[in-house]
Amino acid sequence: MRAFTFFTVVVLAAGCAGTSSLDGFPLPPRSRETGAVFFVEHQPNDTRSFDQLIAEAMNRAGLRAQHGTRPAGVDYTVRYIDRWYWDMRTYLVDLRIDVADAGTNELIATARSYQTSLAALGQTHRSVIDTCVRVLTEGMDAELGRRAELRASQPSRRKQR
Amino acid sequence: MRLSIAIGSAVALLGCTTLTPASFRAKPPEFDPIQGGPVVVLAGYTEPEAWRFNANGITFDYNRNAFSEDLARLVSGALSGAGVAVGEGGDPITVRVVYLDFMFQGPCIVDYAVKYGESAWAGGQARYESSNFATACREALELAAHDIVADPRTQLHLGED
Repeated sequence: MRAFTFFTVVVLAAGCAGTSSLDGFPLPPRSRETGAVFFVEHQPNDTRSFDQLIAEAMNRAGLRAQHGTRPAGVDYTVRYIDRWYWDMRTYLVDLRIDVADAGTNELIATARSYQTSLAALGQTHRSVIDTCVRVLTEGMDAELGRRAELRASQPSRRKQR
Repeated sequence: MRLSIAIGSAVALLGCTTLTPASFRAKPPEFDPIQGGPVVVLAGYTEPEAWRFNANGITFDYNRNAFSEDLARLVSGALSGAGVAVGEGGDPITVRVVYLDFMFQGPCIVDYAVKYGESAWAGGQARYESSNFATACREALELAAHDIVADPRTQLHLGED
């Protein structure tokens, strides 16, 4: 009985603490349907060209995103914060991508992916960007559903042997 | 019994705790005397109000509307502290917290929106760097209130009849 209680509590607590997380809310439909122009601002401390990578990921997702020199007629401004950490290698621990209305500066969508060192194994910063862009375009529920489907479709290692 | 206490403590430490404005105890920022008013500072509301807050992998629940009410309290307190007549019947300034977030090891980020009378919402973002999320978010909330009061649009609104 004690063991059962202990494991139940551990499982419940593990769902809330110390794990990777995905959060945010998606673009409103009007921003995706009208061919609006998104501009990804380069962050001064970024040496990995995240602005270019985010713009490319948004274009793959069907949006009209640009980077580099800000053009006229931008509808939405995209900003990002990337946090890196060293744990036997340097990895992207936290990425947040914001989309704000270029006219009012109001936040209209955001996506954030936080991953522990273990969870980041096998991921690249490009795959984390893709995940965040999917949250922006499809929403959290769609991304979490996609992950669940992926897990379900992967046979366990024990079965493979 | 000891095991139960240990489990209870672990859940209390690790479980899904709810963050409230009282968790940060932000105080209204101080200003030199400001001419103008009267105004009333209202809290705007956002759906869904329940959201998650991730601090270095530990997830908390929070209510965005409770933080909008707290931001209204901070702005109202800052204005009245600066000598502006604040109360019912004044020209409305409506503020709301759009998103509250804490990146890995900081900063805390407060996305907010402000509306003057019947104007469109205008967005803003306040950030404070600290690896302690309680400190970072308290300072970021106070900075958000500071930025709203110092905004030229607020000053203009205060001067209007």
